[in-house]
Amino acid sequence: MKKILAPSILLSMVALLAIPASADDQVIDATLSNNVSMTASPTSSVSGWSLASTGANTTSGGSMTINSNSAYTVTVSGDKTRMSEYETATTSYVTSGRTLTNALSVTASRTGGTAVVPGVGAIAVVGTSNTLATGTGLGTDDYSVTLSQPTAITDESLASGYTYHIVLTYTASSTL
Amino acid sequence: MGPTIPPRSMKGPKRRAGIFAAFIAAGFALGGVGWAQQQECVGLEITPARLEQDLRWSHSYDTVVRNCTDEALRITTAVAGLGHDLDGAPEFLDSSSAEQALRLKGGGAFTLAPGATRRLRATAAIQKPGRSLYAGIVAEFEPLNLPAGTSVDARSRVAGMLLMRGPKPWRETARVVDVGLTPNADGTYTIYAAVEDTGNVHIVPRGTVQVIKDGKVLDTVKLAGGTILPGYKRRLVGLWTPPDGLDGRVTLNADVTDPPATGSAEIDFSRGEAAVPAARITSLVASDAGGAYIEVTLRNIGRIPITPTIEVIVHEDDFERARMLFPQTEPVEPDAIRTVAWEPELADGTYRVTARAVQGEELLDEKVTGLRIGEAPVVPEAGGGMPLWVVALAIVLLIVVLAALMLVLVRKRRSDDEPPPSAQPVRELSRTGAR
Repeated sequence: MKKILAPSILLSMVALLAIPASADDQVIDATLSNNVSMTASPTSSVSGWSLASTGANTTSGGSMTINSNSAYTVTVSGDKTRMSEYETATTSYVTSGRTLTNALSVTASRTGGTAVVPGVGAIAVVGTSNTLATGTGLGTDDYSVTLSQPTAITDESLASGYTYHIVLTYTASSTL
Repeated sequence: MGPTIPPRSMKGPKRRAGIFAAFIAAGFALGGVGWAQQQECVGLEITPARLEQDLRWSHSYDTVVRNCTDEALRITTAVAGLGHDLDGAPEFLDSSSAEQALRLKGGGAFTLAPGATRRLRATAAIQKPGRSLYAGIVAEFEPLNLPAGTSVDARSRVAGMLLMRGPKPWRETARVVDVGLTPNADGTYTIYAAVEDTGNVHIVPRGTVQVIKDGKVLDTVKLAGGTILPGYKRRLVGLWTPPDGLDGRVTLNADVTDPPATGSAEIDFSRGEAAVPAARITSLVASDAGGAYIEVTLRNIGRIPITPTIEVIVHEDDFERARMLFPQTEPVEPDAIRTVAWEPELADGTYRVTARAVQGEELLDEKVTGLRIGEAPVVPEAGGGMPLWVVALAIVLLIVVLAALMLVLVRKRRSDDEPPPSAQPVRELSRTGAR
């Protein structure tokens, strides 16, 4: 019995190993993973932004660079629809605090890059995830980001220690 | 006949030199590609950015994040549900069903040194028959010790998306929910057909719109294709320049393929300008402020006053949990905005909030966002599945056991077939006789 069992085990293992080699053609499939990357430059937060009582109020929101080997989209969203009253000492929004009348706009303008087909910047009005830039990728696209917060005379000024505040989230992803 | 020149061969030293040169060239080429990639990588990179997978109940794959900056980054990864707006812009939404279906091992919050990579093992599983999985892995990042802005605090994210069609049967169906056009500043019009994916897998439809006046085809506009997720709507768009001074009623006939669907609309023109209602939901915010709070802002982006109805629907997975209509009785003038707010009563959980502006049968705009009420549950890390070598070893052992069993059976059958012991002396005798 032992004499038969040992060669049988060996044969089974050899057969198992031989199965993949029984194909006639050698098929090679290669998949190139797609990726998207974005600089942290939009993380350049803005402190002490002095808004005029009436006007467009623009300031730099930093810059961003996108590198992708497939088509991409950049969206921006806010935690509030409007810049809202915020206590700097507690780093929290004031409950039932004041808000500015107009929404904040974010503008992306392409300034350079290596992408053969340049990406396109857009104006996003903060609220939901709004498209800020799109591109076909295959290289880098550099954008400058500008924030614009229109104010009106009806917007109240705040006491010291309080500021109008908003959190912007920039998301770079592949295009659907 | 002149002397024949023997064909050049690559034998001996020449061949070796050729191979060596090829290796050197390949090395330089690969090195160049690697250098280029190193140079191109910026900020935080996520790979894969988009993954499509079919026909499996579960699938494991690696997502890699790489810090391409020269400073350490604080990174927080999370699983999100994947959606999109009418323009096809992807949205990454809070979704407990996505968190359950897509488990991440190696994720959470961590710090990544300059140039370092982190491999996250993602295990996606189809939860129910006939369902698909559309989710995203979102990596939020910021440099260490970055002070928060008092006026504007900015956060950056890169996201990879997973489109996983479950086992068949697939239902690839669609319907055209709206056909129309919107004016552009340069006098052209963007013609669109808003298509809803009514099936259980994503689709990539395309199509055309015929512009017909008095029974004659004025133009045929090609609509660009785009991915639509189940339950979502997307506008397929094309550009159209109307003839100068166009007057009267035109018909737009949309013909969508992959999957097939049709729709039509009638538009009145006056001296080259279309009298069409157009509005954009410029803001949809859903938050947990001690209870659900939803706010929708709409802007009239057309040239005529509109009286739309703003519709807000809250879904938990496939189930509608709440709905509210805000009919606008006063006309909204061109460029004017209208904001509505609602505080629906919702239990703790994650929801999909859809805001829709409609006028009559016409869909003017639609936006979707996520809403989480209560604290996010702690999702245990995935076990990572059974290693391949364990599976291979188990298969080998199974084959060995089966082979042993077969041998035992064969041996037993042979021993059963053997003649009774009384016959043996006869054989012995015959052998003896042969001698």
